[in-house]
Amino acid sequence: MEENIIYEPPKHRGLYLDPRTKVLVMLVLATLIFFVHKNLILNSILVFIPIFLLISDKRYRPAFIYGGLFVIAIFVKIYGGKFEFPYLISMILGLIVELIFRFFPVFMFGYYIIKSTKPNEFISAMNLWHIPEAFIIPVSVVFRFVPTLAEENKSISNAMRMREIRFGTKKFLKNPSMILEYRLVPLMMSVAKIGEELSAAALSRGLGRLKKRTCMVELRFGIWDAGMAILIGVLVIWTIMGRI
Amino acid sequence: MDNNGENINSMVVLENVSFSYNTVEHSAGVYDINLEILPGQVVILCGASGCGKTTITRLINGLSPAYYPGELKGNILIDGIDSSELTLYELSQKIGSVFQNPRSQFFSVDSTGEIAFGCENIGVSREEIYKRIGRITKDLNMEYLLDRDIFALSGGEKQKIACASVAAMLPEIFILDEPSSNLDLRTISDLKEVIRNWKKQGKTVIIAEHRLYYLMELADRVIYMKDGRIVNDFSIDEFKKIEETQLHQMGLRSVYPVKFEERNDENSNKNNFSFNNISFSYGKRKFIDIPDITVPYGAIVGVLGYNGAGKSTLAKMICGLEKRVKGSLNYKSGIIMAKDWKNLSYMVMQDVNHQLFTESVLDEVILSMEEDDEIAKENAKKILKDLNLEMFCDVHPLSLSGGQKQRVAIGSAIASDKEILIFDEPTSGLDYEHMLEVSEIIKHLKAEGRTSFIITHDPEFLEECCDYLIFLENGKLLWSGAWTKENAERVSKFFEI
Repeated sequence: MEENIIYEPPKHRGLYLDPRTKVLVMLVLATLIFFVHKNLILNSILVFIPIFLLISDKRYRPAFIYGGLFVIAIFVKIYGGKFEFPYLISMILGLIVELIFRFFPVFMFGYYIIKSTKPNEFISAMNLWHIPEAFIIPVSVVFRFVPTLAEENKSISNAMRMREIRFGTKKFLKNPSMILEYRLVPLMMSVAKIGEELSAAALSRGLGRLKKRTCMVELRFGIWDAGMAILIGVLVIWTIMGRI
Repeated sequence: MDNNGENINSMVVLENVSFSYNTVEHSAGVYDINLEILPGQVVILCGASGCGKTTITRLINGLSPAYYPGELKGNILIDGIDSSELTLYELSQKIGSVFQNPRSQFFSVDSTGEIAFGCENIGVSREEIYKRIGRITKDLNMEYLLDRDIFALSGGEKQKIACASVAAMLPEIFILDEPSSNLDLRTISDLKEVIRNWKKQGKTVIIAEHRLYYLMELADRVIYMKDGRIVNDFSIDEFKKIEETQLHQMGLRSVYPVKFEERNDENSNKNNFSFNNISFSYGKRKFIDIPDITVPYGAIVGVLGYNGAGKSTLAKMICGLEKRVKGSLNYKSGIIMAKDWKNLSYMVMQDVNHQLFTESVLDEVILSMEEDDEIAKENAKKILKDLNLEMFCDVHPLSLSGGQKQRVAIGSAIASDKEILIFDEPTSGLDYEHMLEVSEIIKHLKAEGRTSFIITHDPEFLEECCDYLIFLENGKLLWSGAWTKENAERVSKFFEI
């Protein structure tokens, strides 16, 4: 009798970080980023971390879009002073460059976490830290909702194209806000509906007592987590040294 | 009902139960329900839309009143215990629930994580979870679905994962609320095997369902509901004796395989239009590749084929929603290239919520018109009158029922003067009466000279409504034509399970 077929989870291949490491690194990154604006090399390293992680997770498109933006931002930062721009343009340009340097690394890191972490791993990682349930459950739903939003958005785009709701038509010129309204209203309605049904399904499968919850993935810090810790340690020390 | 000795043996007992929702929901309440289900029984709950069968499933699995609030009278006993003394968490270990919509009942993003989800919640150890996943995926014959991205799976595959996920919690009772309404025939027969497996293990299975034919070999009992009350409690043998016409009068779908017969070709005196050399590729692979589709003007075309055959892609191509489509359309003595097809065609989507944008039904129709002056308003009102929607002119479209929303979407298609209409599964989850309504509307469109393409897995609707057929397989046109003897046999064969 071949009674006991036991499932074997696939081995992690390539770079694998514990969800706790990811959250910690993001917090450190978000803090450091505000202290390093005088040091272009250090800042670049901070920007490079999420890009590298995105590539390691095979998210090439966002990695290259962001990487490209960053290269442009560096050029603007280094050579921007040599050109005389009108005041308004140089202000907007400066703002965008600062956004790319300061906020995008954290956004991209958040995107990486959402794309590379499974909801159940995240729940048990946060559980190990004794984070309250009221925080864990809603945040874990976000992991599930990012792809859903993309799916719903695509269907709505199709419906809009079929009805010729787009820029430049006569109806658009009469009421330009409709582009936004017609996209958001159905999106919100379908998200609300999916959310309601999803909660019902999750509750009927026993979600709600996290204290007792187990996780099928074993969470353990590994060699990559150690490497990440060393890297972050070096960056923190470098930042502090730079400020003294 | 004071015979307690009997109740202890029953798996589910509802004693004088009445329930009404607090919220203004479409779901109907139930009244004076007395129901006793023995262990190991497979029970079907059936009845027209809004008869309260979904509410019964929610009362048993505890979502009403805990999640869907309302006023509950009477007693519900699950395995001998009063369910009001149990929390949802405790109930979830006795009862496994599978819902209607495959898109909204998974919490994880990967398939294996989803199967483990319930077990993790109730604190099953890691080794035991691995054992259960191994056993259940083998039982349900779905090893190939492990470690996949759920968003890339088909509706049927998602529904299988949902079944596996509840089965892994080893409940004694399974409750399924219209599990087949988004599935095609092949996956319905998979679902049938899953239920057969549970029955063999002696589990109690309760299924609220419109489609009945796939359950006839498995069910022990059929409970027929109307307006929130149980009207009949048939044994399966009694139920099988009911004539088809009487089932239809009860608002139920057929329990027999539909008979498809040769018919006179209603379109034989009409001219044809044709799509020539149309193709569409994902990457290098040609996903759709059809040299010729010829269709009579004004036909109602049933588009058949299994999931993944390319039906939806073909529909999107015809509506101009896919880019990089090659091919031409020979229509009314002109050649129209793929990029201009969108001016000619319109799709009523399966989830119509995606295509309703405005704040009133009237605006929704006017939005499709060139002008929005008084004349347009009059025309829009006329269209709504034809669709029996004139009393809803000022109502917000999203507050209507599913069938009414679908009619609003059809109204906006009519207003845009598109001549080719495409319907993606217009009757999924509809009872007999509502199915007939959709059929009437589509026949009305035919009378106006429009051509309809209908993607459907609903044999009764196909028989009722369509007068031309095309069958796709692997992105190619396998055959097409009117209801000749040969085609009728092919269709019968396709709908066998």
